[in-house]
Amino acid sequence: MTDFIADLETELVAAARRRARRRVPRPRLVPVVAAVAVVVAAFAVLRGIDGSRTADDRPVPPPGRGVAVLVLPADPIEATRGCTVDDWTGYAPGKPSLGVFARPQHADDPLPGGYGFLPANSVDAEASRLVGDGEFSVPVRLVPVGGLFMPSGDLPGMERCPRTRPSEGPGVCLVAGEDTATVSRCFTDREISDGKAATVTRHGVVHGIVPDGTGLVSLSGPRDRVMVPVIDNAYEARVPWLDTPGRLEITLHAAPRPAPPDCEPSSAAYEAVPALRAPGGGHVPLELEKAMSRLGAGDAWRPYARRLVMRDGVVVWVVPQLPCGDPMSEERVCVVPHGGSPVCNTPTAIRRQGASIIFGQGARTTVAGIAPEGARHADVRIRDLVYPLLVRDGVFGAMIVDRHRSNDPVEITYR
Amino acid sequence: MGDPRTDEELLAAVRREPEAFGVFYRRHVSGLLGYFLRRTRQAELAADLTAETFAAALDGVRRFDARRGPAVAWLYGIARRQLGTAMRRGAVEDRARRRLGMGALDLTDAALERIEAEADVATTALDHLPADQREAVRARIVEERDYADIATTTRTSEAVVRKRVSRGLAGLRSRVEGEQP
Repeated sequence: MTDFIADLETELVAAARRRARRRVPRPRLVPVVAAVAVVVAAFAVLRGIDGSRTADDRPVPPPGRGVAVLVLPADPIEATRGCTVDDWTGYAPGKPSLGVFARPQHADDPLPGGYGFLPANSVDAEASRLVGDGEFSVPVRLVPVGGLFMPSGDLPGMERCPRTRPSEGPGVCLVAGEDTATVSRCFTDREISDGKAATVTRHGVVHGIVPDGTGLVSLSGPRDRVMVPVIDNAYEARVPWLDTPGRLEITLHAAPRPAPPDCEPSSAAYEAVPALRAPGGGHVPLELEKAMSRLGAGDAWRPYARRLVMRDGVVVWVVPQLPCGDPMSEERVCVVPHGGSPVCNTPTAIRRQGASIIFGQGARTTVAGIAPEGARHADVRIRDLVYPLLVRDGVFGAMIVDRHRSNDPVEITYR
Repeated sequence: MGDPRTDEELLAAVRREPEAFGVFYRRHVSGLLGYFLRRTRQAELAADLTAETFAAALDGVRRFDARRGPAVAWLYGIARRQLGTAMRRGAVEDRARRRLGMGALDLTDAALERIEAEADVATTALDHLPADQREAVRARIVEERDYADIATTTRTSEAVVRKRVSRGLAGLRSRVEGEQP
């Protein structure tokens, strides 16, 4: 169950921690070099390198369902140093798979001393990235590897090397700490996209790698649950209650997607449907998601969807369908009653003739709509009976105790 | 057992001890949810406003000055501004949450029910205060009236009103903390 109160507390305390850490002075680069690096990095992130992805681009992250993961401890570098087999040719270096690798490499991105300890056949050290933007408690680097190597105690001279699973292809290694305290664990691309790339880097601390588009990660154990933000495709979570190794349920949550500046309802839409000005935000039900998805409405409408409770408890959503710069689309405003389909019209057409829907639910009939400009009442005539409905902020809706059949004559007039 | 520090001491400690904000949050989250829920009658909207209010409080904690009034009045001052802005603009701001790198809300129906139940805790806690303390807290904290104004209305002295507010807040705190798991 989503526990809003506990989740919010976790987020607030995490934010307070980040703030507290930010006050600790960090090593400074030569100012001019740093400034240029920041500008170049910002430009590169905004543009993407070679048109490639950035960490904020978002192919679809895994759905917000948890996956059970046995979180293993990261290996100290001495445990795996020299366990590489040089003639392994199964996997060539692959294209880095995460958005964080799209930015240019900075001076502090590579680990001093190299990555000879990584249990991988080929390491793309030039793609190594220091992640976390200074917010993590230890330096954490992500390093793409061309083929996860499987050190095997069976090979001569490698008896000390840990046994791991068979190679599954390219992946990314997470390297935490520096000097002799460095530890690492590598994950396949598949493990990362599944949300399973997590490791205990020291007692009570888990670091993990997540796919692009993930904004938050929650980790649930038998005794507690934490939610942490993602920075540069990586996260750090303090889980003092976790055994090592320990089982966690890890859930990836999508990052909020900022709407493009031209993805807002026009003033014409607000004038045609004053209900759009009502306070909004919060939970969007799956039913509405599906209804808008069927219209091909993208998701720019989300912040502007408004939920209204009309007469008889009828729930009606008014939702703008926004063109977002698509010259082939036209702005429309939709009315979506609970249990019904969306009916949409342009602001101009709504001001002239409104938009309405009527549908039967058992022995009852639901009516909902947006009234044309100036209308205060909508009179719904079913067969010979007229049901007058009040228009509120341009919207009306009600449950009428009258069976509506598809061939019944229905008429809605406004006054 | 609850943290013995006052709200003001907790806010002063946030910079060196981030968890202090969690204690402050737990003390007031129910009350704030109830405050927003009574005014908006929508659990998801109340949750959104609560999240933004606490984020704005954390974001501006350095600006809190205990000499200008109790922390809870400062928190409700932020809450009132958030509510007013939401009503004017037709949308809840998320500026503070974005500045703090916090994510969007993901509320299930079960979570919304929990929010309503949590708001009830605060309402019940307020209802359990003696009538004079309850009215004093409501007038000072929720309605943000001056002590002098409240004293005039209740035909008593400012000192008495201050005492009632102080005792009422202490009573609320111990009751709400007593509800914590």
